[in-house]
Order: sequence, then structure tokens, then C-alpha cells
Amino acid sequence: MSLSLILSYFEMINWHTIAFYIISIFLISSAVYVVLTGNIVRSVIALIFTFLMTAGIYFLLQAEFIAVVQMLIYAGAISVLIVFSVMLITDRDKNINETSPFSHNLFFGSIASGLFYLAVSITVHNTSWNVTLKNKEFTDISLIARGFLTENVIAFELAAVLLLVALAAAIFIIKEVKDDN
Amino acid sequence: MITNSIGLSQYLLLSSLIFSIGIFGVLTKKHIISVLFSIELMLNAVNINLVAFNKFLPDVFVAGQIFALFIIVVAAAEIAIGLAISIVIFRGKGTLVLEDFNLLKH
Amino acid sequence: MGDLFWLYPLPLLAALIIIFIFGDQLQEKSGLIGAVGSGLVFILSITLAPAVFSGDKLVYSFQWFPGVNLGFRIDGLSWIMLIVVTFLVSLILLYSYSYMEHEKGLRRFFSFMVLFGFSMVQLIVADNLLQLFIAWEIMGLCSYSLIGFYFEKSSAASAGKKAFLTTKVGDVFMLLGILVLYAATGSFNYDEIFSAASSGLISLSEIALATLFIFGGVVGKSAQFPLHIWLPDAMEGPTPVSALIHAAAMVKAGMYLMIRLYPLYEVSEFTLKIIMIVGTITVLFAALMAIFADDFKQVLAFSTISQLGYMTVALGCLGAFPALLHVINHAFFKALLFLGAGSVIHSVGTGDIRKMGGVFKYQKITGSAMLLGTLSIAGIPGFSGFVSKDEILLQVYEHGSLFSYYILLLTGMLTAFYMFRLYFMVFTREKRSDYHGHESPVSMLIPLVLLGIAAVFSGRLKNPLMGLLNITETAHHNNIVVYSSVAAALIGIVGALLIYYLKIIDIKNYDSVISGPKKFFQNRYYFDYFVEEIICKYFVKISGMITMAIERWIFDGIVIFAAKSIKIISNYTKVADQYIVDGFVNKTAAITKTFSGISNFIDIYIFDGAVRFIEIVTVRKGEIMLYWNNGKIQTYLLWTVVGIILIVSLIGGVF
Repeated sequence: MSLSLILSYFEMINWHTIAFYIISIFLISSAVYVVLTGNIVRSVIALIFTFLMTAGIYFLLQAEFIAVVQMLIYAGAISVLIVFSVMLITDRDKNINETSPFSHNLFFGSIASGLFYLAVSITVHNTSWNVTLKNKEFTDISLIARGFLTENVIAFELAAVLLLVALAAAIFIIKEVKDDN
Repeated sequence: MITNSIGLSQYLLLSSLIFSIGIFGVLTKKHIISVLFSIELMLNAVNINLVAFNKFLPDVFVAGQIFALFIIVVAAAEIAIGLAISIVIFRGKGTLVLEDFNLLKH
Repeated sequence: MGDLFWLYPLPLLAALIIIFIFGDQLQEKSGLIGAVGSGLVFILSITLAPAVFSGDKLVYSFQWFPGVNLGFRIDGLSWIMLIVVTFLVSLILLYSYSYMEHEKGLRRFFSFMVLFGFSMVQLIVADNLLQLFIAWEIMGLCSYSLIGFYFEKSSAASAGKKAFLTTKVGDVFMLLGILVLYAATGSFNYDEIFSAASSGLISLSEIALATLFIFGGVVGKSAQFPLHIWLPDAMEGPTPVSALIHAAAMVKAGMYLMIRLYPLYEVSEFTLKIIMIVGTITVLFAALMAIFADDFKQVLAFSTISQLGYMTVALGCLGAFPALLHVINHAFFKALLFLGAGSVIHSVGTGDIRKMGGVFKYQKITGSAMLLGTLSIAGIPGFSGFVSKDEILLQVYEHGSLFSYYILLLTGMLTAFYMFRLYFMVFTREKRSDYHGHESPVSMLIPLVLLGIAAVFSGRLKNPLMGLLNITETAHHNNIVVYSSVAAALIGIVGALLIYYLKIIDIKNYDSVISGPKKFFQNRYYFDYFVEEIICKYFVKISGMITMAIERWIFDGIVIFAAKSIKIISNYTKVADQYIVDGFVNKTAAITKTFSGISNFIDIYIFDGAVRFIEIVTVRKGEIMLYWNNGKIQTYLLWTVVGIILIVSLIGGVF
């Protein structure tokens, strides 16, 4: 088999499809691991991996900016936050690793989520999507910026306020309450 | 030989699968923190949805991506508050097992 | 200047925001801020006088969402209400500055007080029913919170609940009425509704239905029979709250709404008849209760219900103008009476009039102001109450039924009697308990003095008001009516004088005669008992029976069926287990072992769960209901997900 033949095979392969399936498999399996494992620390690691794989999906969808934000905020900031609080709580909570990680709802919960997936996938299948592929190599970030500062400017400001409020509220909630008595 | 390309439906199916896994977690996990993780999974699934719509549907410009960013903001706020609340609950009750809370009954 | 009239309530809103943010630092000074805010609105409203008196109608509206405008409107009616309400609100807030001095939770108190005033102002300047309804509901919320201000006391908390729920019953009717009007005209706007009504776009039956429903809301808010039960209990709140509810806001909102929609009521004779009947019942009903009440504020509460009944009767016989006049006059003298009551209770330390007596010696200013208010409500010529009561009586005599007229006359006598009974018992004669009376601080006296002046002179507003509202004729003057009403009032006063001041008639001698009706009236005709013990209880019982029936026949049936079928299936599986699986399992033990991890997992979590479920189903089928109502969030979320699945399936065409 000549090298050129192999190369032509390679050209025929749709790398996008392969990448999608590989990333999807990783994504789904890590997500499944997040909910199935009884060990919270492992669950966190799997969750971070899930975030990273989601970022991969965004790359495939040519939404590079979202992918980067996903990696920075989710895989970076939020993960650190989660790890910290897990460390704060878990080593003192004896109830976590001893028993089943699932509540009494396991049976119905699995049925309900399975049915949900069934319903949604049939819906996706039944709907005729009016698809037009945009032939762009990557998204123009300035478009996003313009969107934020023109049409969605109020929502943008509100998001800022929301973050501020969440920050203040988190501090306020956690603050030890001094008992007057 | 893999030739058929991936369309909108595949992304939607992927995101709905992740979403269902999230629902499964929310409904069945015992620990509040695990439930929070599952909610994060659901939010991520929604984001995949939005970004996919942004790419495949006409007339949306970058609205899908903008919404995805908003959801990331909300998710950040949500996880911060959620963790803060769990810590306070833990401080008060000494446990974070959801089954031990049946306040809705009273 | 005049174009921006719709922004005039803003100072009140600014006060609200300031109090909400800095309330904890300001403490009772929030009252001053609120008073200033309300006073600014008052002054700004006064500047509109030239425009309003020239007959202009100031309207400003913009689109809220397609089809519905957000609008503000000031005409003669809303202008005068605005003036009265802002004036009273600022005085009441000034009064609360000292009255509430040593209380806790002042931020909550003043925020809600100012919000109460602000929503009343919004209700007045709204130019459509939807906006009015929003303000109306905000007032309901404020009343709930303020009546239940001392929520540590269970009676106060339940009084707040009672007020909220009772008025809510009326509000549902009112919303129905508004929606009937909207369905008929496609608009919430007053003018559009009126023009549709006058052009015959709405049929008479629709108008009757809508007005009747809206009157239902008024019955709730303005405490008419049979939804009056919340008002006497509302006394649990601090006194300024009572003054606000009785004089400026809340109960007056209902009357304002009726007067505002009067072009609709005028057309519908049927509704007017109902209104008159309800009003007549309320007038006498409340006055009789007031005679035997022993709590200072409760007497005043019953008198409010009774006076509101007067207005309702007037509205029931085409007398929108006398009703408005009485709304305004009553606002002044009732605010005066309540603030006076607060001043007395503040110094004596109890609200029980049997323990007072001789207060005038300590509180001369309060006592004199109270005397003015009492004379006014009794309907003595020269005071404001006389003017509007007289108008109402004339109106009823001319347009209403004679029966209502006699009832009103009788009630006039009773009013004079119980008000002077109250006055004599509190302010005159000797002390009946050990208390240290003292005059109230200046900031409580200023409102009293101002309101005392208003209670004397607000009757003079009659002619300017007629000019303002373009009313050319009122009911014909009739000497018989005037003299008989004055005579009735004088009989009442003399009766009270004889019994409670001069003590010529000793009521103890008549105990055997009085004690029966006394008990009856003091228990409020057992009406509250009737509502709480019989209607509520049986309602709960009947709904419980229905649920039980559903549970027994439908849910239990399903459970029994499921249990039976599971039993049958399990019998079959048992057979299969013994003969087929057992043999198979032995040979494939090695393979099974490798998968034991997985099967163990499945076994424990899924099969065991299933088995546990079957156990619950078969062994204790009664607990199945408990299982779904276990108060755990995830169980409830499960049902949410089931609902979402159904919705998605319906939309996506799964079925």
C-alpha cells in the first residue's frame, strides 16, 4: 500500500466527526461518573474533566470564545471554589462515604431521567430544524462584545449586579453569627 | 469509513443526554454537594444547546453565545451561593444528607 | 411644571427607598423622612390646583406592553383624594415618630407605612383598572404586615392573616369584575370603559355583573358586611397603622374605587339595590356592636365600619357626591380620633376604657381635640360630620328607600350615644384604675391640633368640591330631615350624658335586660364564630372527605391492582427461578463472578430499591401516600420532572 493511498484515506476521514464522537464519549462517561461515584472528591475531578470536555465541544462548534471562558471560569475558578468547599465539609461529615450515595429516590429517579431523555430525543428527532450552516472559520469576538453592549446592555449590567450580589450574599451567609446571649 | 458529518441533532442529543444525567443526579443523589454538581451538569448541557443553535440556526447572529455567557455568569453565582448555603447548613445541622431534611413536610 | 404631574408621587418613593436602606440607622427618625416625603407630595399636588379647578384633566400615559398603557390621571376626584391622603399620611407619620419611639423593628414599620401611603397615592392617580388593582394588592400586603407588626404575639399574627385572607376573598371578585370589563371593552382605561358603556358597547347585564363583582372587592377592602370581620381584629397593629387603615388608605380605597367607577354603577339599578342593602345592614350591625365594646380602638373600629356603611348606602342611591364628602370628612375626624386614642393609650398604658376615666385632667389638648372629633362624628351642626351626614340622609330620603333612611336615623342616634359613651368614660369623672397620665410629646400633638381644626372646617369644602367636580345640584334641602337627624344625635348625646357622666341612670339596675344582648353584641353576633368554626371547619371537612374519597377509590384501587399483578408475576418468576435460572447460574458461575461488581451494584441499588418499593406497596399500601408526601425536596422534584416529561412529550409529538 503506497503512502499516497493512505494519505488519501486520511483525507476522506471526517476529523470533525471523529473528534465529536471521541469528545462525546469522554464527556458522557465522565458525567456519568460524576453522578454515580460515591466519593465526592472523585466526583469533583470528574466534574472538572466534564467541564474541559464541554469546552472541547465548544471548539468543535467554532465558539472559541465560549470555550476559553468555559475553561477559565468553570474549569478554573468554579472548580477551585468547589474543591475548597468540599475540603471544608467532607472530612468532617461522616455520613458521606459510608452508605449508598443515592437516596430512596433512586428507582424512580432513574426511570424519570430515562423517560426525560427519551421524550427529548424523540422531540429532537421529530422536529424539522431549519438548519443553515454558517461558513465561518471562527466567531468574531467583537460581535459578541457588540451584542453585550448594544442589544443586551441591560442584561449585561444586571449580570454584573448579580455577580456582585452573589459575592456579597455568599460572604454574608457564611459569616459566623455572633450570639448576643 | 466515517463520512457523515455531525449536524444539529447530534449536538442536541448529546446535550439532552448530559441534561438527563444531571436530572438523574439531582433526583437521586444523597448529598447536597453532589446535587449541586448535577445542576452544573444541567447548566453545561443547556450551554451546549445554545452554542449549537447559534451555529446551526439562521438569523441568530451571536445571540446563542451571548446567552451561553449569561448562563455561565448565573452558574458562577449559583455555585457560590449554593456552596455558601451548604456550608451554613452543615454548620447548623452537622450533615448535608438531603434525606435528613424534610422541612417541606411541616 | 404641570406636565410632570405624574412624577409628583416620587418624593414618597424616595422616602421609601431612604427608609428601606437607612432605616436601621434612622430608627424613629424615618417617620420624619416619610412625613417630609408625603408633605412634599401634598405641596406639589396643591400646585396643581389652578389646572384642576379650571376643569382640566391631566393625563399622562405610555405603553407598558402592547395593548395596555401605564397611565396617570389627575382630575377633580383624584386631586382631592390625593390632597387628603398625603396630608393625612404625613401627619400620621409625624405622629408615629414619637409614638413608635421605643419599639423594635422600626425599619420594617416605616418602610411598610410609607409603602402603604405610596401605593394609595398610586391607586388614586392610576388611570386604569389594572394599575389600580396592582396598588390595591400592594396595600393588602402592607396591611398584612402592619397589622401583624407585633408578630411575636399570636393574636397579632393571626389578625394580620385574617385581614389578608378576608380581603383576598373580595379581591378575587374584584379581579373577576375587572376581567369582565376587559373582556367586554378590551381596555382597562376608565375613559374607554365609560365611553364604551355610554355608547352601549357593553350590555347592561355585563355592567351589572362587573359592578357587582367589583363591589365584592370593595366589600372586602372597605369592611362591609359580611367581610367586615377583619377590621375589628386589625386593632392588633400599632395605633398609627389603624389610623392609616381607617382614615387615609385601605378602607377608603374601596370607596374611591366605587366613586371612580360611578358612571358604571349609575346605570345598573340591580347593583345599586344590592349596595344599598349591604350598606344598610352594615350601618346598624356595626353601630350596635360599638355600643357594647370595651376597647378604645375597637369602638372606633366598629364606628368606622358603621360610617363606611353610610357611604355605601349613599352610593347605593345615586349619591356619589355625598359619599365622597363623607369619605373626606370621615378621613379627617377618624384620623383625629385614632391618633387621640393612641395618645391616650400611650399615656394610660391600656386600651380598656373601663380602666380609664379622668384622662382630661392630664391630657387637655388631646381631650379637646378628641371632643372636636367626637362632636363631628356625632353629627352636631357646625362640625364637618354634620354636613356630609346630612347630605347622605337627604340623598337617601329623596332617592333611597324609606327603610334605609330610618335605619340611618337610628344609627345616627346610636353613633352619638356610643361616641359620647366613649368620651365620657375615658376623659371625665374619676380615675378607675391606677395610672400615671401625662400629656403626649409635641410631635404627637401637632397632628392632633391640625386634625382638630380640619374636623371642624372640612365640612366647608362642600361648595368648592361641588365646583371642582362640576356638580350642579344635590339633594333638595328638607328641614324635616335635618331637624330629625340633629334631634337623633342630641338624644344619643343626652342618653350618654345621663348614663355615663351624670350617672342619673344606673345601668346596673337594668343588668337583667341588657346582659343578654350585651353578650350577643360583644361576641360580634357570633358571626366570627360562625365563619371560623362552622364555615371554615366544614369547608375543611368536606374537602378532606373529597380527598379521602379520591384516595380510597382511585389511588388505593391502583395500588391494590399493582400489588396483585406483582404477586402474580412474582409467582411466575419463582417458577422460572427454580427450574431455569438455577441450573443456568451454576454453570456460568465463573462469568457471573467477573460481572459481580456490576450486578452487585445493580442488585443493591436498583433491585433492592425495587424490592423495597414492592414491599412498601404490598405490605403497607397506606404508606404509599406518605411516601410521596415525605417533605423531601427530591421527591417533589421528581414530580416536577414528570410534569416536564409530559410537556415535552406533548410539544414534541411523542404520543
